[in-house]
Amino acid sequence: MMRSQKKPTQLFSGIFCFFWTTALLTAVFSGLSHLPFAVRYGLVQTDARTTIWHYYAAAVLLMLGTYAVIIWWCGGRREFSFTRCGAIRTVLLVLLSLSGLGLMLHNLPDVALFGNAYTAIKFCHLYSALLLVPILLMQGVLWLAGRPSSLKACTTEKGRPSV
Amino acid sequence: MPSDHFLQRRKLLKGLTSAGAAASLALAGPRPSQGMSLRLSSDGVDCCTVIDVDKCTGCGACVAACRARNLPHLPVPKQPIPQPVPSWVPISDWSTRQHINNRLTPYNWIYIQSCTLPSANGVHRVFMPRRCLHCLNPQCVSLCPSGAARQSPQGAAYIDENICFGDGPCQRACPWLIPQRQSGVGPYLNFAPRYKGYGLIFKCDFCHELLAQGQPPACVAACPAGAQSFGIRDAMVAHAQEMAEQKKGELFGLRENGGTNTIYVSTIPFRDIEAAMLQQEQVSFGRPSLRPAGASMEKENSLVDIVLAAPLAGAALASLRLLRDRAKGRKS
Repeated sequence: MMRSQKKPTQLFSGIFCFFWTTALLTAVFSGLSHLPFAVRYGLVQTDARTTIWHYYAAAVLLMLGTYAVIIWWCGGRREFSFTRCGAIRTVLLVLLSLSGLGLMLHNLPDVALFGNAYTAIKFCHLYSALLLVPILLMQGVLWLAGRPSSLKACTTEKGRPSV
Repeated sequence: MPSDHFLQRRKLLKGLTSAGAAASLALAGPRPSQGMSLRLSSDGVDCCTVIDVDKCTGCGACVAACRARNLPHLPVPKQPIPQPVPSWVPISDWSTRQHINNRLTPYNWIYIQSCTLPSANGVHRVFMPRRCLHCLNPQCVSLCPSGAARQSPQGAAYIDENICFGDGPCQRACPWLIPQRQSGVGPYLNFAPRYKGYGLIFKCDFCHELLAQGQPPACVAACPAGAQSFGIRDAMVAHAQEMAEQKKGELFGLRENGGTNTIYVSTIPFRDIEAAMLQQEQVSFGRPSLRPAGASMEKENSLVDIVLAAPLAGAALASLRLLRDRAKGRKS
């Protein structure tokens, strides 16, 4: 007797998605207070605590991100591939994480980055974040329209990236 | 053969990575160098000034030397200065008051703060050259969104005028409100001057170009009374501590805001000087206080361990889930 091969439609649970979204929104809003635009136009007020919230959000995102990469790599690589939007978001998130870690290390008393290397890392963090915001908004719209967020169940056996 | 080609490419990549790592390690060495971009310790690298408050006569030679070096290069705004929108941040124009040297302005980066204190012989006048203290871990640099505020390998905190938009997070972050804004100058004029940016932020740059050449800042070199001395921080800290011990005096700047590269030594307690300054209205915006500030990035830095451990926690969670899935697979 042949058992029917039912493909899963979701790789991550609802709890994971909840924590991921919460952490991402916290990172975005606490990061906004570092943007002069937001302060100038009264969207946010500068507050020393926002940096601390940014650090907490970064820790949660790094934890969940590592979890997601391992689960996808070991358990879902064949069944799931990135959507185009999801791939761009992932690249931006990787850039944000790496540049953010660099800036965190720079903030330590005995570690310092100098000159153009420091400016390059700052700009990388700033512009990755600025690019991520419209993509996140688009994700929100797609989610409301019932479309997949970043990972899509593959229609092919080899799991080619979906268009 | 494709496999040989692959191996050769891997060898080349390996070689390049090793060379890059070796070069980075060499650049992060203990000697100050203009070319290096990463430093892993401030020991034996930072330059520091020690100011003996008892020796300062308030002659103003340091102020004159600073102005002679910097004033000719500072930009002057073209009138009228664009009115920022929204208008809750006013225009700050010091270009018509460049002569003012009794406070910090965008055109005056050092000034002599003074007050009188009662003493056994009558009245004693205290003079203190005041400028940016060049913190070891400057939050003006950490919080600048564009990376315009930077730290040099020698420990000077300075602002790159080519990318500063004058929004002033550095001004708000400084515990002594040292940075000063000038409207109508800077790169913001090339974009949307009414809607983005406010001008340029100016402050003492510790003559970082001179420091890179191994020379002292202009203010230190100009001091005729020998009140200011300059050198590598470790040696200067030892020198300041010895001075304070001999005089039975106090230090200011050694631990303030996590440590600075400007250390004041005085026989009169700084608390008394601060009280007298406040009483004689010598403290206001542009006339910094002697407020003892704690290290402002301390809370954030205490969270770095958590951030660095987070990927490990994620990997552990993923391992647990994979083990659970495998066990479920075996059962079914």
